[in-house]
Amino acid sequence: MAMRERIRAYIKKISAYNRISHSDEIGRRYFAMNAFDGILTTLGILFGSYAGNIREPHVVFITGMGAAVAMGVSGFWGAYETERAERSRDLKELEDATLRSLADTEISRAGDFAVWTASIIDGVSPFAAAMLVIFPFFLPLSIERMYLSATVLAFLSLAALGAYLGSLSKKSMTKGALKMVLAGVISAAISVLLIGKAV
Amino acid sequence: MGQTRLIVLDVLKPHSPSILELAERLTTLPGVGGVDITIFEMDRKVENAKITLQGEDLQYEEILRVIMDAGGTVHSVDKVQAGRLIVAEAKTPQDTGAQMR
Repeated sequence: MAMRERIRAYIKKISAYNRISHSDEIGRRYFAMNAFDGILTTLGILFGSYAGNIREPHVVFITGMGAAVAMGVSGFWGAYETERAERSRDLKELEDATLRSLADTEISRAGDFAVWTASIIDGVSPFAAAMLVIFPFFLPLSIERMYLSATVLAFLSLAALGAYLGSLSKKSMTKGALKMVLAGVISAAISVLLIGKAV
Repeated sequence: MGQTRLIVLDVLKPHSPSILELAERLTTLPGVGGVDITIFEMDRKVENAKITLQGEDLQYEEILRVIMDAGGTVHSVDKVQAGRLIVAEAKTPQDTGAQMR
């Protein structure tokens, strides 16, 4: 019973922090933006590796994983620094208006909560998206099938992300999905053009 | 020790947490029977609220802690009633002022 009460109090506290800092809205934005980055970057690696005639799955997987880790760290670090700076400025402005220090109040704690959630989402979303796309290189498939399934997975992820954004904006999910897939197609077309000239 | 039964506070607070949340938190305090929060001035980032608390045994320090934690500042304690009875404010000649005939 005490445990349930504690969990309820914790949820209440989190939703209060969320209402003060609007961290859910920022989290959604960061998630979509960075998952998109993760998918497109990995798609680029796939096209590059294929055009470069890389036939060893572990090379593609390691390259993809390296990029995923870098995107994750960059996302986390960038969001932490940006959000921290923004939140500190907001708190300072509020302190000027209330004529008191707001350190160690619910408002500053809500700000810290928003900084950490945004950073974690910003770090995890590109990493997870990239890992999802290169996952087929882990499966017992032929190299051609690995490339094909990874590309299909990338476009499916883009479509899912677009549909999610479409539902979020209460507009057409199909249109949202098509827009994201189009970004993937454009990115692939530019890659093929550039790689075709370079190879 | 006399029990404080009514406190009226003039508070400056940020818009968030809202007065709904603040009222809810104040009512969970021991000794608080009911709360009224009225906004009487609204600014871009802050608002002025008149907080009236009534109960059997109000704990001012606890009330202050909740208001401060929500980012509020108590500008003044405008009214207090304490004791076994609720005493109405007595009318005195000063209240009506000198009248010219």
